[in-house]
Order: sequence, then C-alpha cells, then structure tokens
Amino acid sequence: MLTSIKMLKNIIQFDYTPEELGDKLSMMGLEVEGITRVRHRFNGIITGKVEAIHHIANTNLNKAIINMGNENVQIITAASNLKIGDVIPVALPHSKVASGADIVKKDFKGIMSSGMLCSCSELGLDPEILSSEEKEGILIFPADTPIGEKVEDILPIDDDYLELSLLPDRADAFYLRGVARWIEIVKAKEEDRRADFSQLEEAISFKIEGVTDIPIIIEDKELCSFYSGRFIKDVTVTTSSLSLRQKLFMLRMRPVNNIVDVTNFVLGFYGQPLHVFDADIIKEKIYIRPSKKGEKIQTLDEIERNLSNANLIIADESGPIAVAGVIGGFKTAVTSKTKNVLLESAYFSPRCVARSARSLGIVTDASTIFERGADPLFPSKASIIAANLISKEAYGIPAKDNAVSYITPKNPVNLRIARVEKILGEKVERKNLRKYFSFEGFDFVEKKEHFIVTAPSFRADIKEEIDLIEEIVRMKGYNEFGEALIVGELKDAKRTEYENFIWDLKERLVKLGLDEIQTVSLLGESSFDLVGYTDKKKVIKLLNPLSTDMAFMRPLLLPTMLSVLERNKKSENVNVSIFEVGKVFCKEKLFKETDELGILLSGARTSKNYLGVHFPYSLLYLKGLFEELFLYYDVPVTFEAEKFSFMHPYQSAGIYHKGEKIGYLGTISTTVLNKLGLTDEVFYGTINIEKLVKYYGVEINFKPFSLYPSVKRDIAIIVDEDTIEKDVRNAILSAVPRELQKITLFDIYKGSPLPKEKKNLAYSLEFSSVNKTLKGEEINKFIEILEKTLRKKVKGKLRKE
Amino acid sequence: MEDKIKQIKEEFKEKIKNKSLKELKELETYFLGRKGKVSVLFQLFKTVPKERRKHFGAKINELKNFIEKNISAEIKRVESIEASRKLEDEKIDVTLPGIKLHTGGLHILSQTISHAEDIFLSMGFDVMVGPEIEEDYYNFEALNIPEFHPARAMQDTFYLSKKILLRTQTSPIQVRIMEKYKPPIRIIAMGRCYRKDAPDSSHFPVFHQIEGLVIDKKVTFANLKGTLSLFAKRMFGEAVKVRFTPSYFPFVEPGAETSISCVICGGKGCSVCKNTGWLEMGGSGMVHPNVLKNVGIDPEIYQGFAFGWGIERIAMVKHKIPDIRMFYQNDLRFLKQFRG
Repeated sequence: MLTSIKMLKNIIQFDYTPEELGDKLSMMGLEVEGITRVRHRFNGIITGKVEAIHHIANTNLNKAIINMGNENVQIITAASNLKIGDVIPVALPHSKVASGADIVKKDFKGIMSSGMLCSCSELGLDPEILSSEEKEGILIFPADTPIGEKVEDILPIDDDYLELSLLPDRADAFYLRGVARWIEIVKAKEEDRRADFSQLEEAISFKIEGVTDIPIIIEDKELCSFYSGRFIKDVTVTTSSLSLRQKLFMLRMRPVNNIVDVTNFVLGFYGQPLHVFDADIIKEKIYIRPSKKGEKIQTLDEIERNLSNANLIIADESGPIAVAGVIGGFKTAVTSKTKNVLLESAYFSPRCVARSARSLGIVTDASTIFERGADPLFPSKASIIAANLISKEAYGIPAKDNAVSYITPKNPVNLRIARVEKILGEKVERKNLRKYFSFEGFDFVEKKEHFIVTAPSFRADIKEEIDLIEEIVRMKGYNEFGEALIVGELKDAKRTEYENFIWDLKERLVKLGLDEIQTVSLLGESSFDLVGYTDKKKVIKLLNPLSTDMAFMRPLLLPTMLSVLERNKKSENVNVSIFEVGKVFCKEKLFKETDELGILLSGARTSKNYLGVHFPYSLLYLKGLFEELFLYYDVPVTFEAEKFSFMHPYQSAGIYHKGEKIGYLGTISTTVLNKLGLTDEVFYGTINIEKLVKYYGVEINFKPFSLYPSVKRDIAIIVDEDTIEKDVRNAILSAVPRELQKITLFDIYKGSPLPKEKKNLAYSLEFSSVNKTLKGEEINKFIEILEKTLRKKVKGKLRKE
Repeated sequence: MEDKIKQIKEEFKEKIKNKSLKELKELETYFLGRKGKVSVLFQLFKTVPKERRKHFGAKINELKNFIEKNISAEIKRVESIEASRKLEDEKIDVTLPGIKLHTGGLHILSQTISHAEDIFLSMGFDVMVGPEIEEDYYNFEALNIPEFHPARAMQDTFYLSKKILLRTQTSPIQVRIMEKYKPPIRIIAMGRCYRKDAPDSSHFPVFHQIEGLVIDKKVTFANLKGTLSLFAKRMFGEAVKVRFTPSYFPFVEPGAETSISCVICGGKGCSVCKNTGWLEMGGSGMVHPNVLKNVGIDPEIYQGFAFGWGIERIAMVKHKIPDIRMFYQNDLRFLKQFRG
C-alpha cells in the first residue's frame, strides 16, 4: 500500500524526512517497508485546449489547432480520441518527453507540426492508476483544467510514498487519515501531550432537500449494525473535477466517473467504504440479509456469481443488488444515464465481510477495510461528506438520509496495573500509563488498582486488557524494555528419543561417506511418469497447488533425489553418493507421513587419480552400506530378489525384516536413466527408518573374544550356476558350530576346468574358541559335517586341494 | 710358489676394485671357493718339500686371511652403498597431491538445526517435533486465527482437504505441546513448513522454522528479549544485537518482529540489510491469553512467550548465502562448502 506524503502534508503538519517518518511509524506498529520516490521525467510540457480538428485527406492524420493560452499552435497527430474543447498535454518544440527525447518542429509533407500531443507514456505515468480512457490515446484532463500550465503542476506526479504493509489488525494503514492519525500520535509523544484528532475532521454544511423514503430492513443486526441510505436526485454523471482527479491521483485510485470517484475518495481518504445505486432501478425496499441458496448476482466486474448464506447481501424486491461490504451489482450500477442515486454508508461486521469475500474468492478495497474493522461510528458522517461532494461534483441534490442503527457504545477495557508488570517484567509508573494513553487519545478513568480505558471508535484493535498492554509497549518503545534470562527450576532438557535416533542415523551415514541432501517434498505428475509409479490412488494431491510440478506430496524419495543427481552431473560433479532422511506421504484411511531413508550412488568412491586407484560404486557397494547400517543397529534383515518398475529387473531386491518388507534397493533401469539423459549407472536403495528406531539405544554388553590363536581354513565349493549365494552361506552356517568366527567369500569363479553351468565359491573360514586352542582334527571334523550338509542342502561339492 | 702367492695377491688387489655386490660374491668364490685360487694353492702345497711346508703354510694362510678380510670389508662397504642407492630409487615427490578421500557430510540446514538445538538445550529447552500434515484447528484456530481471519491471507496455505493442510508454521506444535503437558513448559520445535510462495531468492514453498515456547507463572517480555538475545549471540557472535519492532501475529501480544544487527556491515548499513543495519529474523511475542484458554491453561496464572525464526534465514545470514533455492538444489559445490 502506497501512501502519499504530499497528501499527508495537506492535512497534518510535520517536518520529518520520509525515512524518519517511516522509522517513527514502524516503531508505532504501522509497518513501513520502504519509501517510493516518484519524479516527473519530462520537461516543458504544457496544457492546451483543442480549438479545431481538420482531417488531412488521404492520411490517417489530423491537423489540430491548440490554444496554449497566449497563442494557438498547429500540431499534426494520429490520435483519434480528440474532441474540440479537450484539455490536453502539449509538448512544444524544445520540450522533452519522459523517455528523454527532444521535441522539434516537423514537416509532414508540407504541413508544419509545432510539437506533439502526449499520452500517458510520454508523461511516464503509471498506467495502473489511470482510467481505461486515459491509458489509450491522448491524455485528456478534466474540463476545468486551466490551460498554459505545466503538467507537473496539474498532476501531483512528484511525490514520495510510504510503502505500508497491510497487517491484519491495522485497517488504518489502508486509508490516508488513518496514517495521519498515527503521525499525530508520533507528534503527541514527542511533544508530550494528548493526541488531538479533531484537526483531521472537517465541518460540513450543505443544503438538503426532502427525505429518503425507501424502507430499510436489517435482518441480522450482528452482521450489520448500521445502514444509511440517502437519495441524491438530478445528478450529472461525467468525469470528475480537476481537484477530485488530483486527490485520486495521490490516493493512487483509478478514476471512473464523478459519482464513483467520490465514493472511492471517501474510502481512500476517510476509510469508509460506500456504495452508490442507480435509485431508479431499485424496487421498493432495501433488505440487508444473508443470501439464500440459488440466488445469483452479476457483480460490477460483469461476472455472474452464485451466492450462498455465507454472503450478506443488499437486496430489493427483485433480489440481490450488492454483496454487502464486498462488491456492488452490475444491474444497479451508476452509468452515464443515471439521474438519481441512492448512497449507501454502512457498518458490516468484520467476520461477515471476510467470510463473504472468501466464499466468492474476491478481495476489494471495501472488504479489506471492513474485515480489519472499520469505524462503526463513522458511516453517518461519511454519508454527509460524500453527499456534499456529489452535490459539488455532479450537481445532485441530497435528501435527508434514512438510517437504521443498532450501534452500541464501545465497551471500555479494564487494565490492572499489576498485570502490566507481570507480563512485561518491568514496572511502568502510573504517571507514565496516563501519558501513554493520552498520546494515543484514549479516554480513561483511574481507579486504585486499575484503569478503565476507552479507545476511539476507529481503534478496532483495542478489545481487551492485553491489547492495552501492547499499546504501553508501543508508547514506551519496544527497545526501552530490559532483557532478563528465564528464571525457573533446573530441568533435564533433552531431545525426544526419536530425534536422537535420527541424528545418530544421519551421523552414521555421514561416517559411511555419504552426503546429506534435502529435497522438496512436493512433486509433479512427470515424476510419477519418470519412475513408472502407478500406485496413484494413495498419492496425496494438493487442493491448491502452486504449480503442476509441485502438485503432489512425494510418496517416495527417488524422483527428487534423481533430480539432484541430474543437476550434479550437469555441473560436472560425477561422483555422487547422497542420502536423504525425509518424510514421504500417502493417503490410506487418513493422511500418513512416514520417515524414510534414501541412498543414491553414481560414479566412484575416489576421483580419477595418478595412482590409477578407482573404486566404482556398484549395487553390492550399496548393499554393503545398508548391511553396515543394519549391523550397526543390530537389525536382522534379509535381501530377496524382487522386481520394481524403475529398476534393472535382475539387479534389485526387497529388504525384509522379520518377514516384513521395510525397503528395497537396486540398479536404476536404463529406461529411467535415458529419460534423464544420464549415462553412468545409478544405484538406489530406501528403507522405512521407523522400523529401526526400536533397535536404537539398546545397551551394548561386552562379549568375550578368544585369546587363543584362531585357525583359518579356505574351502572351495562347486555348485550349480544359479544357486544363490545366500543358500550356500546359510548351509555353511547351519553346519559349523559357534567356533566359526568369521566367514569371508573371497572368490567366485566360472569356466574351465569347471563344467558348464557350475560355479566355484571360495570362502575363508576362521575358527576360534574362547577357552582353548582348536586342534586340526577338530576343524577337520567340522569340514566333514560341512561337506555332507552342502551336498544335502545345495547340491554342493567341496573341492579338495 | 712364493711367486704364485705374490701373483694371487696382486691379482686380488687388482680385481677387487670397483665391483658390484654380485661381482664381489663371485670374486669370493673365485679366490676362496672350493676350487678357488687359494684352495688350488693348498693342493700345490703337497708338492712342496717337507721342510718348506711350514713356511709356505703360513704364507698361504696369511694370503687367505688377507683376502677374506678385504673382501668382507668391501662387501659391507658396497652393501651400504647399494642400500642407500635403493632408498634413493624409492624417492617420492612429497609435493605430489595426496589421494583425495571422499568423506560424507551433513546438509547445512541440518548443521544449523543441530547448532540451534544445542544452544537451546543448554538453556534447558526440550526439543519437540510435530506433523507436517496438520489440522486447520492446530495451525490456525487454536492459535487465535479463526476461520476468515485476515491473518490467514498472509500465509498462503496448501490444503489437502477442507480441514487438513500443510502446516504454514511450526506454531501448531505449541498447541499440541500445551495440550499434552502441564506448565512449566520450555520447548523448541523444528521442522518443515509449507507456504504457497512462488520461488525467488528469498522465498520457497518449503522451508524450515525453529519455534520456541516458554510457559510458566513468571515468564515475561523481558525474558523473551533475554532469551532471543542470548540465542543470537551464540549463533552469530557476541557482538550481535537484537532489536524488537512492533508487529502483528494473532497468537502473541505484544507481538514483535525480531531483527539482529547486520552481521555483514556490523549495523553500519549495506546492500544486504538494505541500509537499515538490521536483518529481520522472525516473529515473537507474549502468548495471547486466547491461545492459553484454547488449551485449557488459565491465563491469569500462567503466561509465556513464543517465537518462530526461519532456519534458512539463519543459515543465509550466518553463512552469507545469497539464494534460498540453493538449499534445495543440493549442488555438491554448494553442500561441500560448509564442511558438509
């Protein structure tokens, strides 16, 4: 929200620089985010009046005769929106337009043009604050604009604006007088006096004729506690006067016509939203009531909207004519044909307007003010101000208004003096409390232990004791209060056990040489296509996504981890070994979030080096990482060959814990890699870490180890080629006793002299006993048993040396 | 015979010069081996007349000793030369770069979170967590932000259903904790939050917050200032100052925006702090009595403070990271800079 400092200075006197003012208001709670400076960039452009227009035959050009006040000039123009009598900006020779270009006399095939007529772009005006007519063609000033004047004196272009943030509790940041009141509070504090807001009011007296006889019926006074309707007859709807145009310009409001401009001015300046109906279209009575299901209204923006009981409406006998406090209806809008108007000024409850605006999905200036809390006592006065302006701008004759009021006086708020110290940790003297309330123009009655405080009616933010305590902090200054550390019982502060586990897990993964990444937990349809994910029923979709590529909650970590890989490969980080511990989401009966670990490898453990040592990542390297992790937490798991849509069909496995699948790993299929344009092999594995947590933090008890020398024995086993290693290993483990301390597979061999379809697995077995040195015969006995078991369980043959 | 002895000695003296270890060994055999020059002399010895034998015996022994002594001395000498030559051959250019070992590391966000947790643990705060998929009640209503409250528009929310959303802040954890535990409460909570913000250098739809909540009988505004001030000093350095400016968050009152003195210019004003000398870190304030009432805590007896700072913001300020999107791009050239 931009607030004009020029306009503020018109109603309150102050000598602060824009920055000083910004800081002072910010420290009061009216957040100023910055200052916008606007200066005119053209030079020597003057107002002139169109005296005559002659078309130049066989061209699209016109010759215009312009009265510059002291002379008439002839200008050739292609503009088509000119009428005789229009006051327009004229750039005579030797002037400069906003783009910096110099204007010179020009010869159009023998006809001289002494300058140029300007549109908003030659003047460098912000089209956002211009009417649609003003944006197109030559800019036409209000009819009462004097001629021969500098344009920068006609339009208040040169100005500084406060950039105010629209906090939800501050309606006053939204209108100029609201900001001016805070400047008065700043001044009152600096001058150590009571704030006086009366200077910001103006006395108005004007002629009224007749009464407004249309009946007004408020159905629910909780939703609307005041409604005033006022007839204004015989209006002339046209463009506004220069004076009103200048005000709207400073308020950064777009002009429409003199009637609507008046209501916009009252809103932007006084903070009172108003509405004007074409009185001749209204049927009989005005009702302020919740809408009924099935009712519709075409609003001012010409969109037909369905209404519900969430909308409070203004209706006549024919149905809805406006959405209360939000937007007017198209049917009853003021047009150039309008003769008589009905001016509405009302107070609608904040919640009612917020609900109504939300249900229609629209935000207007009116709804913004009403939902933050307008001044419930102001509508009556606002109606007078607006009627007076309409009578001046549109020559209408106002009648006495018809108002229905259920307004009750604002309840005073009690402030217990002891409470101030209890909350703030610091005593604030009684005399200072008196001062602070005076600075803000609050009325108060002082009692032995408390103050009874009544804030002005426009302070919708003062409702209860704690609100007053906040005002005390604002008035004294947030940084004028001391700092102190918490005093309390010493207690045992800790992380949750689960969080300790997560940190421990991450540290372990880091020790295993992996880099942690954090990816976005939102993804798009294309991610599912990439990995061939089909279980879409379970995927959680956002109702209101930001974009299609962030429309779903991720059901697995893989897609976002793959994008990290893709990005790194593109930036020549060829060796990638990353992990993420994060949430994945699915929809079962309820929305469910699960913590998962994903590990992704590509490239090699060592970069290329002059020793030629290279350690490429592989599926079994990845498996080794998982095994290390399971060993660390002492979790029993098995790996079973299994197929996945995005994995190599013969290089992937499910990970099982006590019969339950807790994860999987594998080599990413080339189909997926091709889609990403990746050439190196990629290995990915994931587990549900919630299954591991119960193994975390288990106390470790010492286990005795052998002090006697161990005996090593290498064995070679010939089995069928398709026998899986796990079965061979299990057979060995089942045959040999606990004296087997270590079993290491050190060679796998296929080919001559072995018969076809056979392979040789070579193991090194290490035996030891805690209480004796094992003898050769004992080991031989083990091997004999082993031989039988292998034959029986895996059709294996022990190879003799 | 005499001549022969002399001749062998001369030959030996000549041959021992400039020999390698291997040649010396051969030379040893040549002279002293079973069929060596000296052994042959002993055979000739038989042909010598008896009375001369003693004289020649002594002579030959003398020669043998001479050769033995000299050859072993020479072997030792050459051996030591060759050993040192071998070491020389094994010379390594110690200026060669070492072999690069890949080590793993934590993401800078994890490091920042861990650091923040440690600071608050030392101040006696428990560390808590809560769900990312949250009920409207916890994220808004219980926090004094009823339906249609204008504050909802400040935080553009992702909805999963009418009443279920992705938390926009870690503050719902406050409510969950207060429902579960009785005061005194002194906790922080960390986690991911979501807002419908279009990504730019300072906004991202996913981000992390650190939430603090202290509820007790005598927890004051001064304690809020003291706690955040201490945290800022531990996180950013002793010289850092904390400033409070009025702001509005429905669940705290008095509410404040908390800023720290700019760590880049020291408060003098620079482009990072937009010449203000201050960097905004997050909101804070005294817990609103309505929030306490909503969880059944009597605001006449208990009171407290709460704050919520952005983790990315802390990391960006602490490490001078220019763009929030970098945290989620995970370029290793970024991650590895932070001892990650």
